[in-house]
Amino acid sequence: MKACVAVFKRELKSYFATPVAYVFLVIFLFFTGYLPFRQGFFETRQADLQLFFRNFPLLFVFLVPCVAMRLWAEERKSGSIELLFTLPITPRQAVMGKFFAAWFFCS
Amino acid sequence: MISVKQLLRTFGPIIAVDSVSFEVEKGHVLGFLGPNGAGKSTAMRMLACFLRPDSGTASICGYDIIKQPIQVRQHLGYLAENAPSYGEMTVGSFLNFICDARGIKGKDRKKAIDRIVPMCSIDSVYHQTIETLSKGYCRRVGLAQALIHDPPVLILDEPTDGLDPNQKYEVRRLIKSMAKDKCIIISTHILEEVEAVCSRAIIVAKGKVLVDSTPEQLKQQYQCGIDEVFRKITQKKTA
Repeated sequence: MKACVAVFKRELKSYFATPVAYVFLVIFLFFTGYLPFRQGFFETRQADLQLFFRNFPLLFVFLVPCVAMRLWAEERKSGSIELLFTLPITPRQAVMGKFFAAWFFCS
Repeated sequence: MISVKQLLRTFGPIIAVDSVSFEVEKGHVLGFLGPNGAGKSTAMRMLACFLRPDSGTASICGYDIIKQPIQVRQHLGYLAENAPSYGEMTVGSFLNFICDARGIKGKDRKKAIDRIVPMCSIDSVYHQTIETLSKGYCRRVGLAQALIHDPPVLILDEPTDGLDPNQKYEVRRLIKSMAKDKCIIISTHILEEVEAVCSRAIIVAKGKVLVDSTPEQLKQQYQCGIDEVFRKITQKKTA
């Protein structure tokens, strides 16, 4: 469990140490903050957020892979996977740690 | 403390490590020698539970590398060949991550870091990110990572590779000073290093153990310097 938290913390920090997080956030904010108003958020004269949420699935189709794909690929490429798997961490803990980091970041 | 039994690993048609067996006791420094591609790193990776052996097994501190990999890793300090680490982290946060992962916390963590940082002389780069460090410093950070939990067994894959002569001397001194109460395996092809630090030498080529002896014995047996011994043994067998 502790090891899982360690991986989680490291991954989350690494998002913000690299441009990935900021690029993700800017793109996300552009599409969620700008597009609904272009599509006539006020013109519908209804107090609902349908327009706001309508773009989400399509947006996530492109953005979530950006967040998730580097988790293992980067580790292999830089060889640090050898470090990660020679620490007393089970594969399950490493996977969970990384998954929750990406999940937490998305939410 | 380390006992290796008939360890075998193949990569497709290539036999990287071919039924290697040996034992190392506490207080010994074992030099693992061999030409490039002899299977040194593969053997070490298997001992560090990174690769699974195809057959055979080994135990470290009484824990089996196949059945109890987590316990083995807890008792082991491992420095991989190119000292991998996370480039975007600072040295300090990297060491803290290692402590997190190894469950060293509170006072122990402060003690461990205060001990290890001067020991590997990385004080001056403590707040720098790892990707900005030179190769020598990267290695030292790797070494710090391997030593931070004060493990009884150390496996170092070419620990002095890429270091300047002063740093090499330092690392050798460090290894010697730790040799008394640890069990250390180092791989290298710098032969003077073997004479300087190792109490035993194993020469491997093409995955097989050719010689298991001490550096002094080897020199006596062949009546020449250790370089020459190495050439004679590896060329004779591989030719």
